[in-house]
Amino acid sequence: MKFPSLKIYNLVSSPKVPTDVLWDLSILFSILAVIYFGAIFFFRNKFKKDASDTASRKKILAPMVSEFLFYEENIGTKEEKNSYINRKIEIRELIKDKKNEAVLSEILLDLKTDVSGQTRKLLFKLYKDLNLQEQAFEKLKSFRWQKISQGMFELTQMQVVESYSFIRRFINDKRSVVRKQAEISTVTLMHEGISYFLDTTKYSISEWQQLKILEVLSNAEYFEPPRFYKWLTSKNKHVVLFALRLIKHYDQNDAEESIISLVRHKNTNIKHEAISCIKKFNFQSSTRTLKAVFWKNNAHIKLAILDTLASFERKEDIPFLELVDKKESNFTVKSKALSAINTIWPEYVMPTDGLDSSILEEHQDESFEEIVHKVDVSNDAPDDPEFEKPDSEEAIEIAVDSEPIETNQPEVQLETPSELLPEYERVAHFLDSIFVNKNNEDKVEAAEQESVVAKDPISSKSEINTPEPVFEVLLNEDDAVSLTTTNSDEIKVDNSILEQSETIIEDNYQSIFEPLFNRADDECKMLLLDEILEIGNNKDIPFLTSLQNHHNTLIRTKAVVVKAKLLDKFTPIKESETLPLEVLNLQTTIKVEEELVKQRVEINQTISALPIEDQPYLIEKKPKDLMPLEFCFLLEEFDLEPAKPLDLFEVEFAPEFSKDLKNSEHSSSSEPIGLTAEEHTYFQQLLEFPLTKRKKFNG
Amino acid sequence: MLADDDDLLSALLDYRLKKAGYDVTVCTDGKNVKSYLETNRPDVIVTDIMMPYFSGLEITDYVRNELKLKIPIIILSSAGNEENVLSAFKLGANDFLSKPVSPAELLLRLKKELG
Repeated sequence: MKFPSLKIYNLVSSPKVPTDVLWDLSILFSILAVIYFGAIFFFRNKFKKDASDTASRKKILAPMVSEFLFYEENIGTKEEKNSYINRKIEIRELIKDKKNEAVLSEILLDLKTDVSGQTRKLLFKLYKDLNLQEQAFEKLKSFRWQKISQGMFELTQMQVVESYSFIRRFINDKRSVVRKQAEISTVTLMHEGISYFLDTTKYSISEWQQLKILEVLSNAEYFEPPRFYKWLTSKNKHVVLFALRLIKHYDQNDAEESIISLVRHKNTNIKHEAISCIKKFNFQSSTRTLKAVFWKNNAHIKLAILDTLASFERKEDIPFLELVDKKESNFTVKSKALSAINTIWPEYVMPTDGLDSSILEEHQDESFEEIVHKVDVSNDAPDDPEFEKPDSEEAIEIAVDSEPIETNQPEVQLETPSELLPEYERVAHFLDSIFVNKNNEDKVEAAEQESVVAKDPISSKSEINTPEPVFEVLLNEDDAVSLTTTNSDEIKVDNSILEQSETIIEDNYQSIFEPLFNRADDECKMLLLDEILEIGNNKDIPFLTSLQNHHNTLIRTKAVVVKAKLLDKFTPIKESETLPLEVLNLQTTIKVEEELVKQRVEINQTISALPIEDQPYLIEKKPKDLMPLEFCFLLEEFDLEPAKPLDLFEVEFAPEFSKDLKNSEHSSSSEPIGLTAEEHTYFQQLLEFPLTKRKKFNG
Repeated sequence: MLADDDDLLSALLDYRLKKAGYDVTVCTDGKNVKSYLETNRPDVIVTDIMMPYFSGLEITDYVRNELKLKIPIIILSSAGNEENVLSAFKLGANDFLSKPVSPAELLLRLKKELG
């Protein structure tokens, strides 16, 4: 038997590894690692040693510094003086070593931040006494920027004023770090440093640098700032900008014209800063320039200009601001213009967008009342001696914040439910109806017109901005009132009619039933009339009067009845009616007896007292009559009788018992069958109890 | 007792106070201060706020609420903001001095506290 031979193919073969190269690389990296860690170890130790060396030097030098600082020549004893002199010699010897000198400088710089007052001044003195500034001056000669800047910093911190002329040379250094340190040092060391710096600098001054310099100037003692307008003409725009900021900071408002002219500068930052200065110093003479440059600038500057104009609060600028509102395409600028207008003249521009026109505002009510009041006052004027008649040329202008109202509205529109219309429209409708009627009746004669102009900001605003109608009420001598609109249409009406209309407007407006009545069908109207009788008051009487012309005969009739009853109900109570009931009854009895006596002697006289039942205040309101209207509708819809109100004293104890009791009541015999006399009396009392109780409650 | 982690300033103040006649003990951190207070009762404590282990405010709290001592405490701090000042006084510090400090002023305040 032969087995099949298997051939093995090398599908995966391992690469040949050059082990020699690997060994070489391993050795190389090991050497690098050793060098790296060796360097770290070396430098770490070196720095540690330096730090400990510095600390040990500080430990030696710090007490010496303290001794020098607090040495008092006048108070000290001889021993102290000798010690001080010895210390001075010692320290001079020590600082011959450059390291000690550096450490001592470091100590003094550190202490400078920790101490204040006289000690600090002594510190500066000690620094100079020990000639430590020499080392700092040496640093200035270095070609390394960090050394130079360190030297300048040290000299500045130790207030070595002599270094000023050396340091200021670096103001225009091409290395920014050196330049910036030189700027700070120059400004710090001498008060005139700021002037020198602004005069000579050719480079830009960063915002941060400006802040630093401003901080230095603010902290400088006895610093009197120069007049910075001198640098507004600088060719370096950064200097101009910085000068403007300094002018603003130090409130130097003596360069009005220069600042205004800078509004026309090409640089946006300068323009903005100049506008900011104008706003701060309230240079109102800049208005023309600001308006002139407005359209050529970007939105940022435009906003600044608008803000400035708003701060001036000049009403003459409003037309310009309105022009901006109309012409400007940028939304923010437009908004700012409107805001500026309202800042100058509060509420000049009223909100118009996004308002719900269906909601009546409070002020409309007021305006309505004002209309009535004003006309009323005008009519009453001749009777009032204190009233001053307005000039004939004046006219009462009533501005109505609304959409234009057409005077020739069709009659159909008059039938619109009045409660759905805004109030001014209701007035207009009502007046229209009166005017139309009146025009049909007679022509009003033209007369000398009395008119009063009552302008308010809103009305005058509407004259400028919006084409909203302005009604003008003109009072004539012959008690006629004419109403004109801006369209010069004139409608005239008699004063008596207007008075009547006022009363009707006022009274109709006060009736709470009118809105319901206008929406209800005839059946509901009848029910409403019932309700008016029950819960209505004298405010509803004009409304009921208006219903006497209703097309439905039933309603008309009922309205008359209800009105009559209401009038009776609200007739003022006579003095006699205020008397107690018993007295009234007695009076009535006496009068009736007297009448009988008089009748006997045939003297014809009327009895003044009314029957008690007819007294108005004796009308009782039953609870069942005060049912809600909706409930009445429901009862009527389902043909139901209203349930009797629950009376606690009319509870039936048991059906059977009550049935027997009813039978017994209906029976003619006084004593029911099966009951004794005592039992009967007891139950009779029990049954009569609620009635007696109720009578007691009713008085 | 003078507690400040700034060696230079503490050495300077130590020298000045000693020169004024005070017996001064210098502590460089909060731990030292606590261990010192366990065995000693200084007449006055002058302490910095920012110190290792325990701040000056913690030490004030420790002295007032744990040790229940009425030793005058003067706080020194470069962080002389309102919050720190208020906290120090709330915890029971008697005085507060902002850095940079004037040694002459410190002496006057010490005299005041020690009566």
